[in-house]
Amino acid sequence: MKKLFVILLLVIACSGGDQATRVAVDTLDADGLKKLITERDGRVLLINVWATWCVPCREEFPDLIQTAKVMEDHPVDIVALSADYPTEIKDKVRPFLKNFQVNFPIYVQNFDRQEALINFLDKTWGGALPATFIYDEQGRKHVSLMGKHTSDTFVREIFSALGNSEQKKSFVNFDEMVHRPVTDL
Amino acid sequence: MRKSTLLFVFMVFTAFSIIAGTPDQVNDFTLPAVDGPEQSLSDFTDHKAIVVMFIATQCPISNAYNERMVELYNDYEEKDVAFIGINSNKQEDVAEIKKHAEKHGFQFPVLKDKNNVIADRFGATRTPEVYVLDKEFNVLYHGRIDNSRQESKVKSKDLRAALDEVLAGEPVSNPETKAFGCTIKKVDK
Repeated sequence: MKKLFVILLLVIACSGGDQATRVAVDTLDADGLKKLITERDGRVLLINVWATWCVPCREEFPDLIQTAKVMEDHPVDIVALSADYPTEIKDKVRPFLKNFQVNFPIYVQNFDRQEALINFLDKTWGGALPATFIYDEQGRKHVSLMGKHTSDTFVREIFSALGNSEQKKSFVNFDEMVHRPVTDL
Repeated sequence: MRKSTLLFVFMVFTAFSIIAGTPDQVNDFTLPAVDGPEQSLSDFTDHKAIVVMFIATQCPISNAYNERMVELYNDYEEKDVAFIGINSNKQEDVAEIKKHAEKHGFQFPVLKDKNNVIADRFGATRTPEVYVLDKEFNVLYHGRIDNSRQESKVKSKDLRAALDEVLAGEPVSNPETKAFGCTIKKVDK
C-alpha cells in the first residue's frame, strides 16, 4: 500500500512538472514573419529578438512578460523570436522558458539565412541581441530598439505606436499603470 | 525658414547615415595591449591586410569562435595578414581579457578599448564583429567570421573568402555580412 502511494505521488509529480514545462514554441520562417508583420488587423506588434545564449536577453525577458501583462486588454501582439536554432528548442529554449509564466507566443527562427532575418527586420541592424521592433496597426515600422530595455520603454513605445487612438486617450495615469505590480493587474 | 528646416533635416540624416553605416576608412588609433605596451593601427601597415576583430571574454558567441580565430591567425599570419583583437566591453577588465587570451592561445595582440571609443569609430555593435583593412585603413570587409556559431553548420566562410580575395588583389565580392552576436556593452555617453 505504501509502495502504491509512493508511485502515485511520483506520477502526480511527473505529470505536474510536465504541464509546467509545456510552453508552445513554433518555428518562424520568412513567409511566417512577413505574414505576422503585415496582417495586423488593427493591432500593434512588438517583436523581441532574443536567444538563450544572450545574457541581456535573459535579463530582459521578465520585462516582456510585464509588458504583456500591462497591455493584455489592448490591441497589441507581443511575440518573442529566438535566434537559437530550431534543433535547440528541446534542450535550450524550453528549459529557459519553463522558469516563466510566459504570456505571449514564442517562436524560433527558421530562416535559411539568418542574415536575411536581420535585414528583414532592420537593414541598419548588425544582429546584436537583444533587439526589439515595434510595428503600428498597419504593419509599418514604428521603432527599432537596440539592446536591453525595460517594460516602461516597451509600453511607452507601444502607446506611441498606437498613436492617437482611443486606447491611448483612455489612460489618464500612464505612469501609475506601468509601475503597478503584475499581481495587481 | 522652410529651406533651413530642410537643410537641418538633411544634415541630421547625413550624420545619422555616417554613424549607422560602416565607415569607408578609419583613422589610426592607439590602444593599450592587455599583455604589453600600447599598439597603433599604423604599427601593422607593413602587412598586406589588417583584420580587426571586436571580441569578448563572456559572450558565448564570441567564445564559440575562439578556436576559429586562432586557426585564422595561423593560416593567414604567414600570408602577411595582421590580426588585432579589441575588447570594448565595459564590464571586462584588462586582467580578465589577458587571462582569456592566454587560455585560448591568442597569438595576436588583444587591445583594451576603454570607453568604447574605437568601437564607436568603427560603428561596431556586437561581438564577434570583424573588419578587414588595407594599408591605408580602407575598410575592405565588415561583418561576420562565418555564417554559423556552430562550426558544423558553417556554409559560408566569409572572412576567409574576403582575405583570399584581398591577397589575390581582387575586390571583395561580399564586403558586408551580418550575424547574430552579443551587444558590445558600452559606457553611457
